[in-house]
Amino acid sequence: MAEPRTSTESRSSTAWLVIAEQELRDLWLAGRGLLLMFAYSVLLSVTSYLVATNQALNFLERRESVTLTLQVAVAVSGLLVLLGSADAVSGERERGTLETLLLTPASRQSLVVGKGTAALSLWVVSIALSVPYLWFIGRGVGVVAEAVVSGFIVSGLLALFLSGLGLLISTVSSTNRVSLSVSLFVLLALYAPTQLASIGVAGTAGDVLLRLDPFTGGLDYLNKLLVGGHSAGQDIGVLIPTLVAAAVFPVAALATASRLTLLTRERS
Amino acid sequence: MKGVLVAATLLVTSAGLMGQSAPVPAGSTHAGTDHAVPAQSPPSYSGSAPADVLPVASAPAAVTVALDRTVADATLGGTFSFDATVRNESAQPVSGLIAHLNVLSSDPSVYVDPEDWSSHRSQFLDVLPAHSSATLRWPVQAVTAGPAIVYVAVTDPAAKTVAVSGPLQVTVPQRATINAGGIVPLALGIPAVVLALLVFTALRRRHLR
Repeated sequence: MAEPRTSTESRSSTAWLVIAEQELRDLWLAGRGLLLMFAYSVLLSVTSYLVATNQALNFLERRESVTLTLQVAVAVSGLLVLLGSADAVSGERERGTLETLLLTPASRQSLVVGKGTAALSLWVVSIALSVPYLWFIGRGVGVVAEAVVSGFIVSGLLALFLSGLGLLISTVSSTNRVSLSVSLFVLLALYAPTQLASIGVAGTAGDVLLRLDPFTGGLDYLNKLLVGGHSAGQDIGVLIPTLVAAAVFPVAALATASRLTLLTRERS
Repeated sequence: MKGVLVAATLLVTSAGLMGQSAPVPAGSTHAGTDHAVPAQSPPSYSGSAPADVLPVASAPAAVTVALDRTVADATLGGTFSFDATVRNESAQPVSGLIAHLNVLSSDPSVYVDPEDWSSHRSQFLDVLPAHSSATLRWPVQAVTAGPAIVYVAVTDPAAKTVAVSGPLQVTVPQRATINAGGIVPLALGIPAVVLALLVFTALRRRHLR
């Protein structure tokens, strides 16, 4: 009796790898991932060119330029991860391929982990693509290493959060359109407080809103570190909502995965 | 896919705005900017004990201000500090004095924003007793390359005159700047490499079919 159980466990533990490999292949060899990266690199090129051609920038403004470029990279890489994960389950459902996946021996959690891994690959590649731009803009002000490391950590936390969020929404959405619309709406709602932060929000409610928003926390941390010259541990508190979101949402997505179904609409 | 790209463009616009910082009121200690300049220590007083007798004089006619040096060297982005000594030469105490730091460039092609050099440009003094002085410390960050002149002006809200210190000549050597031309190969090269990969995978896919 022991052998079949071991075999099942082994199959289950590697199933997510098989799914991740297939998803990565689809994403990067079928062209969609590279197309997104092309658009992303054009955006970073335009941003960097505009920054680099402004010769009137002083030392602080140069650091702000590095931060701006990094924040664009972090925000857009988060967007890409969200789009990838929001399409993961609802896309299969809409294309009529979810049933086939559910019939495989892979558990539903393995399915979600594999798809989440593929979505996170968009973050890895996009952050790697941003490094040359950050190096070019930040080399004169000694902030390149700091920007790359802090950007990698903050964007990684946001990517984990957004992949969890996207998978969660995708799992419970009946159509891909609903999943993508809701995900983008939530993302825009999360970005909005970052704009409030830049104009200054008075009052307890505004302060609480800013402190709870994972995006505001992450981007504010980068700003304090790179422009304010603060030490890495000085403002670690502002990263707490980002850390919590990065831990909670993937777990929530896994928990919801156990109830992953074809949904009533498709069955009828 | 088209919807995805449109959404990306929209969000890119939003993300591009995130780097903007809030407008800061000029020259105030309450500006709350977040530059890497440490907080200032309160002014230290010397001379006779603070007067507890009123009235106090309000006009700074008998007030002088002097800096502890006339020349300073700084690296671009580096911080340095200097002291300004405000002295009440009159026989009466003065109150409500405001000392304000200013920075300007002697090179007409260089624009200097003093707010970037110091986020706490104004310091408010307590009552300055007769024939006594107060020393104010100013940490400054040299954010613009080139020759700069730093000075301190002292006045009070009802003043008709302003006492001004001598100049502190600061030389900030230029560091490597962004080469606008150098960005072009990078800005074109990276998308070109990604595009080449995209075309390669598309051709390979077509070939496999």
